Amino acid sequence: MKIAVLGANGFVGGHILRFLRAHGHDARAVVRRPPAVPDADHRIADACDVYAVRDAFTGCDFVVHAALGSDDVIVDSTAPVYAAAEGAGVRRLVYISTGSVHGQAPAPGTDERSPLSIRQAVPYNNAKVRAERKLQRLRERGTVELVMLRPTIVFGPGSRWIFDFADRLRTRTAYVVDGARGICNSIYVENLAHAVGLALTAPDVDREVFLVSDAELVRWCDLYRPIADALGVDFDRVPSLSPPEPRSTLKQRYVDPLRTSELVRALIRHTPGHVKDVVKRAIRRGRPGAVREPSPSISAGPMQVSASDVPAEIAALQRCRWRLPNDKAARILGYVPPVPFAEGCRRSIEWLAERGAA
Amino acid sequence: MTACDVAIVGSGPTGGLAAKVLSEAGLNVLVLDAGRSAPELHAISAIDRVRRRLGYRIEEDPAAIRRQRVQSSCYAWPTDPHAFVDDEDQPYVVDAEQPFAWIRCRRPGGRMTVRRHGLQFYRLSDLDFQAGQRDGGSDSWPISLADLEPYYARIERWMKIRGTRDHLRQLPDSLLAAETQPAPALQVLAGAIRRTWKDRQAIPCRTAAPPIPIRDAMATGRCTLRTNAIVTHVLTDPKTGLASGLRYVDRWTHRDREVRARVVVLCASSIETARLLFASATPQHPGGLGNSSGLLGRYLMDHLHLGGIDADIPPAAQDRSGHSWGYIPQFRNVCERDRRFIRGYGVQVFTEGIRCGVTVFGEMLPHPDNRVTLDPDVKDKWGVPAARIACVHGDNDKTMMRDAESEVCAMVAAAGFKIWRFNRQLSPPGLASHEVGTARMSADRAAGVLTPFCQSWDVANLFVMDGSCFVTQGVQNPTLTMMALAARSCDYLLEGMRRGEI
Repeated sequence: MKIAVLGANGFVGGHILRFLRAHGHDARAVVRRPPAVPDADHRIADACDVYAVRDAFTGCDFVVHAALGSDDVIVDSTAPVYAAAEGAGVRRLVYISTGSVHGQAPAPGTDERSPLSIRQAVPYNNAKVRAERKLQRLRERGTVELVMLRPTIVFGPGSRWIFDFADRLRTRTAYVVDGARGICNSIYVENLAHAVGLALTAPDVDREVFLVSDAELVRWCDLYRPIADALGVDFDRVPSLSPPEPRSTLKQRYVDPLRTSELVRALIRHTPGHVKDVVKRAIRRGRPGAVREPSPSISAGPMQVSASDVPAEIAALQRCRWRLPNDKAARILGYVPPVPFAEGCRRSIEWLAERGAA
Repeated sequence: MTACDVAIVGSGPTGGLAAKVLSEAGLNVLVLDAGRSAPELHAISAIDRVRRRLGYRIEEDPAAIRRQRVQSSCYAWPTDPHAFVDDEDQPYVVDAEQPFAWIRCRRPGGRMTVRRHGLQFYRLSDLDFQAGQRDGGSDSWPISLADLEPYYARIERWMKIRGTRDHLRQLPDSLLAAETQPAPALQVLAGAIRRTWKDRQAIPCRTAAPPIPIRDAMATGRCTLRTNAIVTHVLTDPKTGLASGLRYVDRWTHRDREVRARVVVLCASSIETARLLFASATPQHPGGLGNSSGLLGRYLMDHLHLGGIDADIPPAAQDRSGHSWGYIPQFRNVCERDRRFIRGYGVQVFTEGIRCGVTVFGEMLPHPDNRVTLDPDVKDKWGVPAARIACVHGDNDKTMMRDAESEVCAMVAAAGFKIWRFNRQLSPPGLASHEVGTARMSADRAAGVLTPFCQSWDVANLFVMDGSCFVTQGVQNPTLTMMALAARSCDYLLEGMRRGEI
């Protein structure tokens, strides 16, 4: 079986490609720009160009869509990629979505069945939700099977979670939020690649969505402390900031818990489609248009980081109180993360040391 | 008085795109549009629709036709009359023997938002960019396809164009988000053409939803759209000679207002832009702003337009499910030189049910005497001096379109379609509403009004990002190229601002 990995120049795509090749699969890199390291089996294609992508997919049975880009590209690449996969006779498409479709700090109880919103504060999340929905719609009409994976904090050698924090430690602009005691829904990149391998081959998983993460319950300090140790910085002296909690709106406090509750979800499942459409339309009419806030950029002056510099997105992420469950992936895909968190950390730190030496 | 980083005149595809690119880059952008505000437009449009539903036919109402004497000649006018301007309120001057149909649309989003717009998007090829060098019939562009390629791709990715990849020398392939299947009638036509002629082929058109980039610009929160603002002058600082802002008159109150800006971008459509630059003359720029070359307003072009050719599709090829466009790209003077004329024409085929309509767009040679100037006497309802347009077809244009006539007949007949109406009359210039030129770009400041980055040679912080910069126009519909040029110009502007040069 031949697998095309779209976005193989990226951190996640690259690891998936190497993992699949290391496990004896015939994998092809599909990239927008020629890879830095020469690769015998690669094709150049813009993910929004249906012809180029189809040419790149020709002869492949499976496709892993791990390409990122601007928020527009995330959404707009789905239709060309799906159409190209169909045209090239691909059997299954595995889409790498993100756990943050549930928000940076998912509400307790969140799992794959929780409803998604495209009115989140982070435009990236909205783009991923729209991409997921679009793919589901395309699958309804199309012939290519679809499996979607939702990893959250993907770390490993080459990940921005590792080197961003390391760089901040070096430039003394590092900080953590509330002592970094929040839950980090981490997944070591090789575990993700393993999940992709399972998603490609597992039977009867068409149109399924899986949250995937490491086996352990990881807190942000568990991820950051080894990095600080490796750089010889005392983690406990990294400033811990407490930016004010964003005031939760009435909707967040009352409507969302209601909407995500078991009972309401069961009710929604048993409501006929046309009734739902009518209600949706009625609600939509009464609401203003989607608000798209510019994503806050991380800009902290040297040596002085104040609570107001912490982007709301990062603050929410490090205050997360819910571990996204692996249960469905374990049950249906048979997903058991092969690399323990500590081992993943060790390998990442090793890479960091090499990078620092270089 | 308002102050902003960039003031843009016009919110159509190019003005909107400039607003999108610049506001996404973090600048504060103000867009002035002479059109009505959105709620007003919705109301008018709804009334139009209801009246039509009730049996009122504006195309049969002499009073309406009198008011929109020129606009009513556009095919899209009856279904969306109020998208077009009122010719009584906004007159322009032409000689009686040299008609020019200036089809104008004043509303946010521009002409692309008119219902029944053809919405076709094609790249120009190097045959077009270097047309002058090949045949000596005109000057050539100072840029090539390679310069514009990344910008074409960027715009196409954003617009999500549908079409097919055709590997044609005269029509470079676009970045396509989806592949289209040719309609049955088009398949028949394409088959017949392929069998009969080696030099030409029919392809499905490349189309997309109307590009309205101003929406994206507004979504950034850094772009303000001010409607009902009819810009009358580009203001200049007498000390530095640089543009300092814009003066406009409010559509309702008729009161003058001013805005200050670091950079002024004109995207008001070719003729309007030239008129505006002429009207902004100062003692420093006596012949019009940025007109030291004396070429402002000259080289006005519009596609040679042959319309009103209708045929019946044979029953086997009919498709009652919908309508579709096909395209026969330029085939004259692509590989072989035609001895009768230079340049060529493209044929667009519209099929719907049992009917098929054919429109020909031919390339008009640029001529310095085809020009826009300011009329000394005539003013519009708001006291703005009107444009005087002089534009005639040349001998090459007429010879070529006679060839187009016979070739279209031959191609349609070869497919077995029965022509029942054939309008041999070449439309007056302007009716194709693909007007370009008037402020062409050039690598030499004596030979053009704009630099190859659409910046005024004379006024460093004045940019013209609409179709005015075209040197030659090719046979392709111009919007995609205009947007690509605008995106390229915006990148140049941002880089210049970053370095502190603009």
